[in-house]
Amino acid sequence: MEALFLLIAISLLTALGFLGAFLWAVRSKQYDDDFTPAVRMLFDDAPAGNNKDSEPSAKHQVNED
Amino acid sequence: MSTPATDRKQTVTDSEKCFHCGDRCTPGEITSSTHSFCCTGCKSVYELLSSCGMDNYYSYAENPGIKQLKAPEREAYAWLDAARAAEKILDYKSDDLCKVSFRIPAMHCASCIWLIENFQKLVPGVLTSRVNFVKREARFSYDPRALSLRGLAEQLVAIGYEPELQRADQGEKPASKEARKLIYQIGVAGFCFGNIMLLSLPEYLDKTGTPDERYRFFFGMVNLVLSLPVLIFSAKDYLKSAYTAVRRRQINLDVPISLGIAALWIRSAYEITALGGGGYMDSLAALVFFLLVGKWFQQKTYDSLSFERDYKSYFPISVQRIEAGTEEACGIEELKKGDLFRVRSGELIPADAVITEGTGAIDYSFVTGESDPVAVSCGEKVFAGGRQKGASLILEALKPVNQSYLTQLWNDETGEREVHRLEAFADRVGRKFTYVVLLIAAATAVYWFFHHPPTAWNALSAVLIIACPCALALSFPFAFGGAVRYLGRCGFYLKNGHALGKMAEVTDIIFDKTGTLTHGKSAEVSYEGKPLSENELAAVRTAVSNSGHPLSRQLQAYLEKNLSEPLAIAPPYSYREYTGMGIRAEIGGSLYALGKFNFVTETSDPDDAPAEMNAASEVHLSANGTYMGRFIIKKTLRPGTKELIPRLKSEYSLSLLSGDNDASRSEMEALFGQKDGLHFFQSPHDKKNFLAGLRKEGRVSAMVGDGLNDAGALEESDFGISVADDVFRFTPASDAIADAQGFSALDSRFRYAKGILNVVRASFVLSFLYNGIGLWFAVQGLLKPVIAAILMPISSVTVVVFVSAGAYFLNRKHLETHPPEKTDKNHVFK
Repeated sequence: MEALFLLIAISLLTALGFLGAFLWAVRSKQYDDDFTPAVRMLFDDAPAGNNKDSEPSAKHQVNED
Repeated sequence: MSTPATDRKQTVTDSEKCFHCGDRCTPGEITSSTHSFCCTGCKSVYELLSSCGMDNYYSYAENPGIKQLKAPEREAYAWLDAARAAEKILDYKSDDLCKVSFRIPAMHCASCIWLIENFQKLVPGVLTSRVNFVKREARFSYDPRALSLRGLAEQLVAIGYEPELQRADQGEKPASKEARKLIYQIGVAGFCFGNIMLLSLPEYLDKTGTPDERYRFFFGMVNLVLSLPVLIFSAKDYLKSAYTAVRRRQINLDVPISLGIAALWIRSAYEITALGGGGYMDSLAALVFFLLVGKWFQQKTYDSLSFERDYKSYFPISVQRIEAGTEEACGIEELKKGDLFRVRSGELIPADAVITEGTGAIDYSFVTGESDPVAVSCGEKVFAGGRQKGASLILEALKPVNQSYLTQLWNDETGEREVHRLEAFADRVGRKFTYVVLLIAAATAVYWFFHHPPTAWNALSAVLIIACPCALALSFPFAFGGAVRYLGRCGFYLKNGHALGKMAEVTDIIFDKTGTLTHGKSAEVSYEGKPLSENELAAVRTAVSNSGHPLSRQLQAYLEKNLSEPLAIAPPYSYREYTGMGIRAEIGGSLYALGKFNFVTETSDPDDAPAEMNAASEVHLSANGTYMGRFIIKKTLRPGTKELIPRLKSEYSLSLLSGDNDASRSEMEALFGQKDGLHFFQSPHDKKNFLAGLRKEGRVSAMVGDGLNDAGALEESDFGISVADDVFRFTPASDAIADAQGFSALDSRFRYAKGILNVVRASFVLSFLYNGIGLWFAVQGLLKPVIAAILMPISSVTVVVFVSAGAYFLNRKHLETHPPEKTDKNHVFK
């Protein structure tokens, strides 16, 4: 039954990892707008070519803040 | 001659909708391809989008467009060209990349998101755009070599999405930081709650399954450690707020909550460390977790129910714009920089301007509180909010009208803030109730301590938490906020929510006659007396053109029609208006007096006066002291007044205060169906005294006036309503502005206000029911603190939803006589 101490320690650490992931998600503003992305994914893709330049810089934008 | 707002109300019964913005329009009048539009503005936006292959805009939502109420102003964003101004707004700047955030309040649907996010297809130079719909914000990055900041802003305006510029150095709004903090707190509390729950599992097993003491102590200690972040971080706001309140010897709603939390934690910590027991850390963590989730949910509900007062829908008032020598009324929002416009005696100056003709005597009492008129000569600057006291002025606007500034002027709470007694009641009861709750909680704890000690702690916490009368504090803002918005939509603009409380208690309604009951425009005018020459007629016209009085307006309209050749209006040499008496003006070397007989002839002997006409107002005229004759102005009642008065009479005691002679007494007696309470020959001072008298008798009076001659009476009354036709004149002293279009439905506005107050009363009952029933179970130890924590926000939310729904249904019942205008786009989605 000594293993119980270890198991609980490990499970708590794992849970802490998830808590950390959650806090990171909040910090990186993923919870700031919980509406637009849901609408955005329904938009039809624009004909190829036009969309190219918007993708990478959109990512760039998120990382920057 | 009416404002854009009323135009829209009246236009066509046709159900055809503008393809762009969804407003009603005449099919076939303005068309492009197969679609009809309400205006060329909408059409041009459609053509622009379709030429760029952006027809998709119209497929994500129906009629998503934004009507162009004002012509896009080219100069409005010129200041963005200045490097320093642009720097303050830009988030990031380099030679080939700039980033900027705009708030775009006009965004309201999926189509808007799509259009803004595909902005780069429409405007070359834009690289990316990203929308945050919740905040109504869009971030753009663009190439400064191809597009200037000003260009970007102007392009947005061109398609109807006017950006609100905010400076980058102001940083993030505190509101969003606050919201993020709440999410952190929920996350931490949830994490601890889950783990504590698991580690507390053995406590729930029966005694035979109890693990040995070692584990029990270990689990207890881990729980204790896990409870610390809950107490210190997640519950921080409650504890802090309660602590501050207690230190100030006050009490607030967080005090019982904090006591509950503290009681649970101290007891549990003691049990774990000293007694080797399990404690109630699971209850504590769950309690805090659900409290926070409830708070978050509450916040979400309020955000979607709360309203922003739409300043654009405010003030259905127009200004006399002069274009190419002709004057015409236009909505004040159409007034542009550089436009010439006329302000008559007694009217408010809508925007900062320079005098190009005339001499000002400006009363700035609404702005500065100083009522002595300031003399301003030609070429000098005058400021918005001043009231012209002298002859009429021609002004050149320096800025477009800032509606929010004017609204502010009106809404400005001078000194004491009047609180409705029901609201004061809610405050008081809320506070007293908290003390009662603390007593009940103490009694419960003592009782259980002697009968069944383990129940005591849970019962104590449950009582403390369930009994919070938080819903009480919420019903007022939500009921009144909703009501102000619904009333505004049908042309009845309330100064603020508190005015609604007063409105509901009105017992007496007092009407002014001229310009209020009688129509401002369609009057029959005739003249009798010595014949007047063309020059004299022109002089009279000049004199009356300076005045904002309803009779002057009618007289001017008549003269304008009847003068064979419209002579240019020369400014008078001297001009003075005597409130309630008449006008004296020196024009072309002669001294003219217009107005009451006694005033014009300067005698006090009424016998000389010619016999008065029935149901008409008279304006007497004298030139250089000789009596010339009189203009007889037959007035017609506003449409619907005949039906309105009897309807009001069944509920209120009505009176009439008229500054005119009693020529129309018999007509008014027939209208009101009463002989008492109709007062004529009332000076502004008499009117004021009359209202003061009513107040002494304990009556609550509503004065309905035209807002110009009745300013004093409107202020003296408990609830002043100024009826606005289409002229820029209202008084900040009034509590409400009624669009004259909806005058005949005045009774429904009053009924609505009464209904709202009943909804609030009902919400009090509802809130007490919640607390009462909850308490009943809590004192018996039947209610877990966790359940209490879930019930508490639910009770608040139901109360808020209840009052909001009440405001909505009453609106359907009383106010929606015309089909609603499409103004409230924000609710399409949220």
